[in-house]
Amino acid sequence: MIGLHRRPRLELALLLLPGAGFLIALFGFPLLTALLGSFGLVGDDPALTLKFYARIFTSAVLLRSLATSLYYGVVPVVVTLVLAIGLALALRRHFAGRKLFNGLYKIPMAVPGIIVALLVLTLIEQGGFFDRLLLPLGLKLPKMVRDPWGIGVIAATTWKQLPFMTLVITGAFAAIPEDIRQAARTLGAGSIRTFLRVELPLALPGITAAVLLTFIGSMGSFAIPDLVGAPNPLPLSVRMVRAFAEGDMGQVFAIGMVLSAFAFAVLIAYYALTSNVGAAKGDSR
Amino acid sequence: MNRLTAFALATTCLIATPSLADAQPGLKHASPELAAVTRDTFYDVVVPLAKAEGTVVMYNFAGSFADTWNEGLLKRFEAKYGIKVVYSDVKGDQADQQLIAVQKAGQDSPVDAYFAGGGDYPILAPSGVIGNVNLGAILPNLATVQSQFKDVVFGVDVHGTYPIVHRNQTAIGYDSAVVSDADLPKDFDALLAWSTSHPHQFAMTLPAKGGSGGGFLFSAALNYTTGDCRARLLDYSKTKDDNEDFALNDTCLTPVWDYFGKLLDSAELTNGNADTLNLINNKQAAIGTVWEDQVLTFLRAKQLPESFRLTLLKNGQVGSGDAFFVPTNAVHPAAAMLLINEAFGMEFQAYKMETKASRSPRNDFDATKVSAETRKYLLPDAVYPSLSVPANWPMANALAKALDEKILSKR
Repeated sequence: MIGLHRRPRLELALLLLPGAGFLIALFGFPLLTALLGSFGLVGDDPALTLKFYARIFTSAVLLRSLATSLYYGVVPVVVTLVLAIGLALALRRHFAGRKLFNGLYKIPMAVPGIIVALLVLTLIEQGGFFDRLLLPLGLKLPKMVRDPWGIGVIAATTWKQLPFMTLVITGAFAAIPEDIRQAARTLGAGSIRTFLRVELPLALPGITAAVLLTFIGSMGSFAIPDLVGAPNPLPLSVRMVRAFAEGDMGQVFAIGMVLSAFAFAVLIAYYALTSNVGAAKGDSR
Repeated sequence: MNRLTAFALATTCLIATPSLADAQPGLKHASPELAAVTRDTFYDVVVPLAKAEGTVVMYNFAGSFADTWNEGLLKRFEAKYGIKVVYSDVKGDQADQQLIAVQKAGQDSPVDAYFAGGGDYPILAPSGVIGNVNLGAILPNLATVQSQFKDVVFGVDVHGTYPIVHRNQTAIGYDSAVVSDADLPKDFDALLAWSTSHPHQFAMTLPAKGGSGGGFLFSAALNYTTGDCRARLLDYSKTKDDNEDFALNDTCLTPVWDYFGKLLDSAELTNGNADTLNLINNKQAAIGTVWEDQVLTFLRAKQLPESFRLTLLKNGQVGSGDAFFVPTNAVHPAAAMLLINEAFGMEFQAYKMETKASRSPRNDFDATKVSAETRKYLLPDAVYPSLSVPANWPMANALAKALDEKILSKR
């Protein structure tokens, strides 16, 4: 042990081993296997190939799938973000039943994606529950399941992710010292200006974290787009499961890597954004 | 036991095991008696061995079949032989990959008797997952099973290792309260005309997501091709890449793509077979691509109107089936063979036909085994089995991909 103290790097590595080793074993190796597999380097006859990636970026079908995945990743996040900020601001105020509402709105977090998809199918499918309720009034719901704009997917994803995003954003707003808000108001800023120019920028790290995580979740989600989305075009996550069913593991790995690449890109954007916020804070001091 | 005795015993086992395995290349854990069993000696040999094993692990890939297995077979099997059945519902795709991985690792199989998709043989066989034991020649209850369901299954020579225990049929389902017999399309052209005049009333399962859609696509391809082109569609010897290349590039399939280009202008594509049936149940569609057995399940659960009926289009629609097999590394091979034999018994075959519209592969099975109440929901004698054509799922999958590329991606 005395010897280890003379070798701080070795000591550090040994101290990190339980935690880092766990991560490497559970996430690192599978990720590395997937990466190698996407280049054809896993399996009985490993041989370096780019054909799995080439398929994704040259096939009209898979390119549309990629675009659909991005659409299903971005649009629900934008809708959820707007609603979550509104909800977070509303939850700061006192109103009758606030405690009850504060508990109830979190319920969707505990509901699995597949149940949410079935819920949507039961409720807003044409001929479904709401459609039957509207029937005596001579009204009909617009097509929201299997529709080309993915309204059902967006609605289901938003419902599922709203509590999580609201929780994170509520926390981000709550972390802003009340003094700063009061100072802005004292200096003449209205409530909207205070929100836009002071609170929102200060809450940005929390908001971007929430956006990042919900984007990754919705872009890679399978059950909701598979059951509620349009059969054409299918998102990459659904194509990935089809490829798995056919035993086309190289394609599975390549699609997984492409989806992961987008997640990593968003992660890097998050760090870039939040570090800029930190720098801006430093400049202002 | 002292250390020397233990060492000697372990050494003997180590030496004996490879020679035993070499002697039984079909099933790793089969005893010499089991390896030498014949149809005549089956019960005398297998029953004691199976009872000694005491347990059999069964996988079921078909979600809708759980009750059928439990109520119709497993309880009776346990009571009859005193052998415990450890039963699991699995997702076929995942279980296939699990078994392939286990086989490659040289480990014992987690399952002894696997009820798997009939089209999964080409996925499982190359990895050696399927035990090389000719069940068709050994199991007494397979004596009356037709050769096309145990020897050459869907055009592939399976040597009796992958017998079809449950047969099913794709069909055209319709709500007879909405579509009269006079208006009912009888062939593919008539269906296109009907769909065009009734937009979104014909629901077609996306072929990539459900066999009734894939079967419909393959059936239409057979309908609109002739000669060498049609023969190529029924050629089971080609590789996946060959099939995909043919489906995507061969000009002889142009009439097929023309047909779907027009049909999909008016048809409602759905996300699965259940999705199609739900749409019809919700009165949003009147005709759809379906499986005969799934329709009966939905009818029994009151998820389809009583007026729902089935038919087949002229020139035929795809019939398929699902298989039972013993994995190479099964730990309880005798119990597995006994269980599979029971599954082919007349009693269980009649039970599943009555409860699930699951057709029997036995040639001594007839309609009298089914009640009149069930028969009215089955395909009528006028179209079945005369219009049932065998599936070529590798080709159907290739056509599904080509449909995506040629038609769907351009919409």
